[in-house]
This record gives sequence, structure tokens and C-alpha cells, in this order.
Amino acid sequence: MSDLLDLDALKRLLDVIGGEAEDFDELRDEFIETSPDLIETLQQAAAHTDLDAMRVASHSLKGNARDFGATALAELSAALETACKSGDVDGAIQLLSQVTEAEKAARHALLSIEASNLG
Amino acid sequence: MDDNPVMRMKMRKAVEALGHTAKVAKDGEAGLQAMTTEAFDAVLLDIVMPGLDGFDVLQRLKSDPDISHIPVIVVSALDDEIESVVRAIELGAEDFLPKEFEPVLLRARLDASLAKKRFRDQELEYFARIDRLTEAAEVLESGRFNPKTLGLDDLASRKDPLGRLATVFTGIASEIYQRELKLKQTIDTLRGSLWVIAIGIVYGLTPSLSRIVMSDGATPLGLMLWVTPIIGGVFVGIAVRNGSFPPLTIKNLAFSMAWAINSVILLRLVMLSSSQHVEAAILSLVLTLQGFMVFGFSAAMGTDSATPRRLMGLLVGLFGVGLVLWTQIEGGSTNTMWLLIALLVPLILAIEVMMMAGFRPKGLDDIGAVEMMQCCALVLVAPWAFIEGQTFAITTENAGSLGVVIVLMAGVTIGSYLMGFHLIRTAGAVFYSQTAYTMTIAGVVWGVLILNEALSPMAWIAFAVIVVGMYLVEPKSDGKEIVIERKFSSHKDV
Repeated sequence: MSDLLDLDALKRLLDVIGGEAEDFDELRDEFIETSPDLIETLQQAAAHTDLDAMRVASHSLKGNARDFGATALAELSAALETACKSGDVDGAIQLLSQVTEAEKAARHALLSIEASNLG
Repeated sequence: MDDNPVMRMKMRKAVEALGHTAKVAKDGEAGLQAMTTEAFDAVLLDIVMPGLDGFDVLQRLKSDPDISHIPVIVVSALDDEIESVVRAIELGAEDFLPKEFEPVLLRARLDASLAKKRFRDQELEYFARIDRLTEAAEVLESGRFNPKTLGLDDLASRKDPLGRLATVFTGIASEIYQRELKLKQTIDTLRGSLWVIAIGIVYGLTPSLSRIVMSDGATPLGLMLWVTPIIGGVFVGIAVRNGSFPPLTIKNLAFSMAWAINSVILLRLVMLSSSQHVEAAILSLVLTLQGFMVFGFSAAMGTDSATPRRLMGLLVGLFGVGLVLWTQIEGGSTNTMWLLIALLVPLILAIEVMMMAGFRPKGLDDIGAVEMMQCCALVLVAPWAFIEGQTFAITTENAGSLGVVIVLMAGVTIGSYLMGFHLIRTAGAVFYSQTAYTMTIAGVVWGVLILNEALSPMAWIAFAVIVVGMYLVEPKSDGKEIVIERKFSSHKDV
């Protein structure tokens, strides 16, 4: 277990998808597998200063982070999305490195989470 | 529809956990494509997507009449997207769902949308049924009252008000259709009867002409040698005009040969020989038997329906003929042997009708059949007439009497064939068989008018009996759909 994750959020997620541990583990694996892709997308978009692509990717990351109770990642992603919307390139680039760190931490924390531990 | 794979998986599992089936699409384009090929009850739509975003999808979806009725629930993070939700609802979204939701909320939103969809589906079905009733009304207005054409049977079996309306439509249409059907049948009977009378008047000349020609010194084979080429020539002429000749197959030739032997050689031989000994009027009365014989053959072969009424009609006719034969034999005015030979005439005629109706090869049309048959008859008769020495010449002396009668005999045969084909085609063999009665009546009248023959009162009574028999036999239905000319039109007057 990790202090990085909000267990109440994880329990709600389990509840929403019907309470089956197998389903939860599958969804968690999907997060772990696709989150690095979102970071990759963010970094490439940042290299091209494509704020719109960054906004869409950070929006997805924010939603996923909220579902999995990764509060820090969710807040940083939300801030990044806001920066992209307001056209703040410097702020966005600055936030991206923090988001990258937070994503890594959340992903590692999730590796140790299993549905059976949430009950 | 969501570009985020984690969100797609979460939503699919959440919807399936509520007992529904779900399909996911990774972008707006794929989602819209799926909606045009499969049936969906509701759509959960993400707003922030690359390419087509949620607003674009909503706009396209609502502008497509095939899918615009499917309710859309917008899935949105509430914190900073409340304006987006408002815009989505303005664009036609049914409802919204926050991204972080409780299961009960998803259930409530989905149930509400599905209920609306079901109501809308019922509404669409109701409109479709109204459309079908309107189409049926248009069919009625165009004058087609056949209840089958309306196609409202399934609607009429429903208990609701539209079902009741469909029942009334079908009922009224059926009533009018039956009435029109009866009227058409009456007209058909009347028209058929006129043809029957015309054929009778023309063919009824045959016994009198046969008697005249034989008394003028003609021989049966020699006469055939004159008449057959005239008839054959006319039918070849018609075939040339129509541009159609019968194919010279063995089947066609065999049929034509059999027909020529029956309907030219045997018929003329028996008719001409017996006409020397039996009065034309009595010969004509005997012809009525043809009707009974055709009916018997038709019923046995199943080509025409043998209703009790028709059976009764033909039996009444037969009784009339029996009455005539009895008065002749009892009175001793006619040679009994020649009277019995004369009975072969209706048999030969009946066999001809049945041959044409049941045994004619396919591809041999009416004109071609007569043309080929007359040629066969000529091939058979010509050498026989020469061998028997029965040939005779038409000279300036006998052209006025014998020549005219020969041309008349050929004309009678040509006219009878042409009218007979038409009648068999439009009214059937049984109805055609009634010509035997009119031939009889006309034959008797011709005998009285041309040859001054006299008939006993009993024979006149037999006429009345024969006419009753004719009335009882109805023509067969042609099964064509009836289209009625309408006197009014509701929308054209507006």
C-alpha cells in the first residue's frame, strides 16, 4: 500500500465496474500499460509546442489519475491542462517534468495494489 | 466513445455490470460509423477527444435522421467543464454524467435515457403504422380494392385503435371487391355469351350447307379438296402478316396430322354423308351432345371445375337432345342408322376441343396450328380424292351455286376457328362448349329458313330445355385483378 493513492477512490472504482477483482486488475494493468504512452505523447507534443495535443493528453491522464486515486498526479495533470488551455507554454513545460515524476510514482504505487486488498 | 483506453474499459465494464451490453469506439469517426451499421439504445460520449471531439460528434449525429433519435449522455469532468456540458446539451445531448460517478448515478442516467428511447421507438412504430394505413388509403383511392393489395392483415390483427382502423379498411375493401368481382363476372358472362351466340350462328350454317352441297352433286373428298386449301391459305396469310410460322418439329407434325384426320377428314365425311339422310335441323340438335362430352373430358382431366351447377346445366342440355332423338326414332321420320352415325359429329368436335386444350404442343400457336393442320389434311385428302375419282370442277355453270357454297363453308370454318380460339382463351373450354347449344339453335333456324324444314312442337320444347342448360354453365374466372375507375378523389379536390 502507498500513501500516494486514495483508497476510497480505488474502492469506488471497483464498485463502479461491478466489484469483480479480475475486472479491477485488468483495468489497473491497462492504466499501467498506457500511462507511459500518455507521458510520451505529452513530451512529443511539448517538443513541438503543440499545446492542444498536450491539453488532450493531460485531460486523459487527469481522468485516469482521479479514477485510481492518484491525487498528486491528478492535480498536476489538471494544472497542466489549465496551462495548455491558457496558452502558458513555459508553465506547461515546467509542469510536464513534475507530471512525469508523479506518473512514475503513481504507476509504481499501483503495481502493489490488488482488488483483493481493497475489500 | 472515448479516446482514452482506460476510460473506455472502465465505462464498458460499468455498463456491463448493470446488465447491458456495450460496444466501445476509440474516436468519434469510428463511433459514428458503428452507429450507422448497428442498432444502439444510448451513447456515452466523451467531449475532449483528438480529431472529432464530442461536439463534432453530436452535431453530425443529430443531423443524421437515421440515428438522431438515439439518446446521448455526455461524460464530463465537472470541475472546469460545466460550460462544455451546457453546450453539449444545447447541441442535443440528453443528459450528462460526471467522470467520477457512483454506480447508482450511471444506472439512473441510463434507465432514463433508455426509457426515452423506448418511448421514441414506440412512437416511430406508431408513425410507421399510420404510414401503412395512409398507403392503403392511397391504394383504395386508386381503385384497387383487393384486400391482399392493401397488405394490412398483420395490422388488422392488433387490438389497438389503429388495428381497428385497419380492420375497417380491410372489411370495406373486401366488401367492395366482392361486389365488383360479381359485376365483372356478370359482364364476362354476357360478353362470353355474345361470342357463343356469334359462333353458333356461323357454325350453325354447317349442316344446312352440307345438305345443300351434297344435293348439288358434290362428293365429300372432292369438296374437301376445294375447301381445305381456302382455309389453309387464309391461315397461312394470317401467319405471314403476323410474321410467325410454327416450327416444323415431329411433335407439331404428329399433332397436326392427328387433328387433320379427326377434324377435317372424319368430321367432313361423317357430316357430309349423314347430311344426305338426316335433316339439317335434327343434325344440329344432335350437335348439343358435344357440350356434355367436353364437360366429361374436362372434369376427368381436371382442366376445368365440375361444380354441381355446371353438371346440372349440361345434364339438362343432354336431356333436351335425348328428347329430340326419341321423337325422331319414335316417329320413324329418320333413318335410325344414319341418326346414330350423326352422333359421331359431336364426338369428333368434342375430341377436337380437348385436343386443342390439353394435347397441343407448346410453341404451336392457334394460327400456326390450324395452318399446319390444313396442310396435313390437304396432303392426305388430295391423293385419296384422285384415287377414288371424287374430284370435280367448278365451272361457270355451277360457280353460282356450288362455288358460293364452297366459299361459304370455308368462311364458316375460318370464322368458327378464330372466334373459338378467342372464346377458349378468355372463358375456358367448358364455357366454349356452350357453343354446341347455340350451334344447335342456329342450325335449326338455318334449316327452317334455308331448307324450309319443319320441327315438331316437342323439338321446340327441347330448345327451351337446352337454353336452360346453357344458363346453368358459367365461364371460368380469369383471375385478373380488378381496378375500378373512381368517380371522386379526396386530395385532388383540395
